[in-house]
Amino acid sequence: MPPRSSTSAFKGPGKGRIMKEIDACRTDKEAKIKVELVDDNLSHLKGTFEGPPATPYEGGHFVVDIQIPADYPFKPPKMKFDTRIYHPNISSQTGAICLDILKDGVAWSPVYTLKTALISLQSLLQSPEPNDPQDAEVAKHFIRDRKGFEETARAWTALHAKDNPDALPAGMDISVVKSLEEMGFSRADVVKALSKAGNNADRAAEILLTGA
Amino acid sequence: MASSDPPRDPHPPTTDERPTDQQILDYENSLRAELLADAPFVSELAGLEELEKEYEGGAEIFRKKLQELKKDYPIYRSIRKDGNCFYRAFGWRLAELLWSPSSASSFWHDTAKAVLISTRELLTSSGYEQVMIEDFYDTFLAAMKLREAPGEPTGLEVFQSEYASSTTICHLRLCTGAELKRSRDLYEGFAEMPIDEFVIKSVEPMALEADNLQISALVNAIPLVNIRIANLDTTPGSINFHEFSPMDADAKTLPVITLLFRPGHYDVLYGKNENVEK
Repeated sequence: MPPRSSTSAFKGPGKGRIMKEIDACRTDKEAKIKVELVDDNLSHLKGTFEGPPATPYEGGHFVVDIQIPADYPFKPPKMKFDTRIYHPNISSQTGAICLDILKDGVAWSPVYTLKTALISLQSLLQSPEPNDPQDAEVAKHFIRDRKGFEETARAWTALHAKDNPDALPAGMDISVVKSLEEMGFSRADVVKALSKAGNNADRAAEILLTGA
Repeated sequence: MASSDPPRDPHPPTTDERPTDQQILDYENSLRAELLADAPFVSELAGLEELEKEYEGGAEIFRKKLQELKKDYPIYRSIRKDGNCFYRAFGWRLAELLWSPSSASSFWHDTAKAVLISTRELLTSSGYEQVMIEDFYDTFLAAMKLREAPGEPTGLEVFQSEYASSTTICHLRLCTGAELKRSRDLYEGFAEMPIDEFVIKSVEPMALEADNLQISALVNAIPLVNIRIANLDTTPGSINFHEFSPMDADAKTLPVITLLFRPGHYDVLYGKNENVEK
């Protein structure tokens, strides 16, 4: 270790910690987790990871916005999904995440890293916890109709988390989607309604109009 | 879906009206931060009379015990009540002993340096990644060795600064965790869960107070001092002390650090003849 004056040791980790963490992610190809700086600002990063296999998020590529607080790593990083995602513990509107280690409470510890936090997010996609929801509507859907939930989640993955933005879930007709979009609904809501309605356009329109 | 349901916004705002867990936590933390804002991490020395004032209107038993305590321990130093106080008090006293001119050429001082340097090995051998712990380790060691470099900030300045203070506490927490894992057979019976889980839940996170198990482990992780804890409680009779000594060291040859325990909190006590950092 290079000699270091003790005074500088008291000032803080400076760029050290975050750069080390970015490097650690770079050298670990297996985990397929990336952490990158947005610009020169070391307190703003983006993390990306793949949706876990055998889940509705499989094949999706998820981007997470990361803000580093001044007292990191003694306080947890602030993370939220940039990629829209349909999951009980993630807000379908804002991407806000409900995960204990990311809260400024007593579950985060300074030995965790951005990588461990992103791996925890990946596990969260694998094991949703509908009883501690961030998005109450999605959690309700998950509890009441697991199959329908999974279809919607898969549709959202296809829509928001895949390279081809026009990709639709299997069995969904683009002309039907477009006709419903013309009624003034977003692509995400249309896809959600169509998955709920088993691709029946009339039923989907009813769902969209009543908000059912 | 019942058709009598009124049309709804597909994303009803109900979840936004209630505060989220995070907002509640932030609020609690801001309240706590406000309460703590004026309290230094490590305070200046004070006479025990200051402490007696806190109990002026309180139970007789506290006043009696404090009077008794004052005969042998007339001075104390209060530590911020933020859940880190045990580790902070331990780190501070250890540093003070190392800085003390009277220990400078002692055998204890040489042993202490070697033991503190070896804490990196202790941590890496229990699975902590070197690249993640070295910031903590470097700052901890620098704080302990302060007096060797003239022109450095004073010990109190260092321990009162946020980063150095947090880092030192973090390093001591990790030493505690490493010792628990290294000698898990010894401790597992006292934890109510597997040791690895205990370390993750009750040792590593900041702001979680230390209990007997963590104290025993830290004394063995850094076997340089005996810890004597004066227990200020309502038990009838004289004030009682709990002693913690390292198992594999000749405890009689080691200095004693004395702490005052009140439920949920530790402060530092100084004996009549102890050298203290002003």
